[in-house]
Amino acid sequence: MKDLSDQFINLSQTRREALKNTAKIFGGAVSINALAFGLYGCDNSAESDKVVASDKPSKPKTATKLTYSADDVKALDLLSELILPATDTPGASAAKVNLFMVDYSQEVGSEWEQKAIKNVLAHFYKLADDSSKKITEMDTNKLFAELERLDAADARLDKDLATDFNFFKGLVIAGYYTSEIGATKELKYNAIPGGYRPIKLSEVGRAWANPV
Amino acid sequence: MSDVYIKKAAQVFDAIVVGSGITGGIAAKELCERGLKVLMLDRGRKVEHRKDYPGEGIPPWQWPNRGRVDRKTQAEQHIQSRNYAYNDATNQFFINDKKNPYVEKKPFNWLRGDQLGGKSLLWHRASYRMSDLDFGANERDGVGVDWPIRYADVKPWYEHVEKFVGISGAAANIDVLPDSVFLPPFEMNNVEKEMQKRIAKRYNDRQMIMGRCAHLSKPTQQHLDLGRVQCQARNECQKGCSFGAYYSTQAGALPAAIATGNLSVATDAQVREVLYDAGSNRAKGVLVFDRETQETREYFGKMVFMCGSTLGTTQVLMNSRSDAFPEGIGNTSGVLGHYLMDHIYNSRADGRVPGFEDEYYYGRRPVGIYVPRFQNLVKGGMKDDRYLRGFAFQGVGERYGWGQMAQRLSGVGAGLKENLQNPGEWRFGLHGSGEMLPDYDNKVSLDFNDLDATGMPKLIVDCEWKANDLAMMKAIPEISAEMLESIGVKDIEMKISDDPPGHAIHEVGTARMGRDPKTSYLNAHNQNHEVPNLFVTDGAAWPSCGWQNPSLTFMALTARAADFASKQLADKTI
Repeated sequence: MKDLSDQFINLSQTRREALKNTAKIFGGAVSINALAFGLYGCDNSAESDKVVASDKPSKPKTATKLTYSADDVKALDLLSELILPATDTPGASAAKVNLFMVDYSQEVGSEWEQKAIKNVLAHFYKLADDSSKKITEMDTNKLFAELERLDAADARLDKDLATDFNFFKGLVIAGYYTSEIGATKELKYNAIPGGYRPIKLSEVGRAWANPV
Repeated sequence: MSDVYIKKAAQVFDAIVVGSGITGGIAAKELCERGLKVLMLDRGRKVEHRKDYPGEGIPPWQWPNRGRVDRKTQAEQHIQSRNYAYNDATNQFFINDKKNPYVEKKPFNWLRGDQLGGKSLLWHRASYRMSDLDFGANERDGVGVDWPIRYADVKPWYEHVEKFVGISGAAANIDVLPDSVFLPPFEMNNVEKEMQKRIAKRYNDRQMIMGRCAHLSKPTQQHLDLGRVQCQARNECQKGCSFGAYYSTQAGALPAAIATGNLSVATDAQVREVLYDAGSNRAKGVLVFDRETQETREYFGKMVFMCGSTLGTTQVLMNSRSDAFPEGIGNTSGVLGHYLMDHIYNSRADGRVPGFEDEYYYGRRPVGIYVPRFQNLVKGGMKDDRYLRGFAFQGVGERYGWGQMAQRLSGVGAGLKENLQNPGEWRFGLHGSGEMLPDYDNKVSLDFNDLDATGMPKLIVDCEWKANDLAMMKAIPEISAEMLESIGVKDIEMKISDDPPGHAIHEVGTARMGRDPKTSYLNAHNQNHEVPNLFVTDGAAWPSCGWQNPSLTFMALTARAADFASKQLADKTI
């Protein structure tokens, strides 16, 4: 069994931290937790780590409110729509995922999470600067290619930036599928199922937006 | 109805019940139904069924942060926020840590409700009987004092509370996990059914069953009469449930007790001390600090039932000092505060179940599957000499949703969106729920020089996992992974728990039952050895902690003690 545990441990430290951090948005997302059924509950393994490591009660996060300029808000709209575009259903832009990202950063996110959002934005601002353009004037194909490069965690990339982007993408996904559009138009949402039973996937057609 | 809730009272109640959660609710209901005039107290605010469930039924897009709690509130609840059920729709049922501090000599998560109904609004509702494997455990291996009762003593009381509470499950005739009086079980999904088959084929010493839980899968007339209806499989229980489909004080005990006309309730009432009358050697009432009016007042009763949660109860008892009992009421033995336990949780293994791509489920089942303890049994089972006693597995088979896939699925753009239309791979895991041994050094005490806002001395918790606990914690993921591997689960990930004690919220001990007044605080009827009209029926009373979720046994022992106490009161023994 040793090889199995090693396999788990082999995730790089930053990658694990990032997973833990983002798990907090989704609730028990790192591994299925039989007990963590609530969608918006926290995976608190990171907190627990701190407790044990420091032998002291963990301290709440001390992040402060960050401001987002009108350009930032536009850039977030552009990038989130490229990540989850309109298809036969509306995309991230229609679902106003950018506003969720700002709210999340300002009200909820940890310092690390806030930095991740800002770092990804800064990366794209630099890309725009290099072509002497505003980000909103850039060729979307070029932006999309860069998003793909970040997503693939290209070896030439800064490792931290890849981790930051992984969080950024997770936040876009969370914002979209907890929006009314994402939950009810793109996926299936059922407020009061009335009971539980096994079914074939074809009976519902798509994934439930609600947590299991 | 309105005269149920009181502030001042001159009358001498037949019984004062301190606490209104899982235990206090049952105590009040059982005593009221026997014709006793009961005052139930809770330190928290009033929460009314249905009316005070502000988070219920609100979809994620209507929450300011999609259900996530803002940083400021999280900072006020920095311990409570570690709980899996903590979110924007439930956090009003968790205590404010900043305003209600305690001292952690070693890390200990003290997770608390702070309202009428206590943690009965927040619990996970898993309901399992204990057996003589557990009641006889201390006697068999010599760790801790023997429980002064056996399964036969509790069995009729399990039946009694199960009918009232409503337990969903299937009879399985397992020695170490006696069947309850069941409402129909929830169904396993097709992957779970397959895992169950494979476990049955591979092992003759263990079996997988559907989890048992306090949900009305099919309400009886008794439930319907209280306004409780069938579970709707929303699995958002901790927001409060207007269907009354999972058992809480609000859904069950409170309306039943109010219906007798014998119940009074005082909320915002922090009990600071149990008042002792040396002349009669009786508890005569309680001293209360009203958190709303900031006044102190006394309530009087012919007996006192302590049901304030394990540590809440012990905190009050230790603070109830008199010339006769300088170390806390009824505590000549000195055991009060010692032998704190919690369950060994979150050691686990999980993995991917290949195939079953066409299988899915409808609804959100509020309970998972269960593998009862199979290690170190009295007869049969797997012998594991790395640790004493053993553990059960809780688990679930389910498919990844968008939340789990968000950072695992590569790609951006339309392709990503299309991939997320389908549920992800099937996952199956087995998570341990193990027995921690009682240890004298795992203890709580009070700092009499440091009072909180209610005038209570701060609780100092000094508790840690000991060698046997750590050995079990380490063994669980290995045994889980072996089992998962043998039934075809792939890419298995193991995790040794790093939770401090308290995190399972199954804390018990610190005012234990026993046969000898020198080494225990309570007798076989949850009655103090020295002060006969003082009863402790919550988790504090336990000499060992078993491996089952404890609430069902809290309720059964409470109903049993209420029956005994009311008879003693009637024949003037107390």
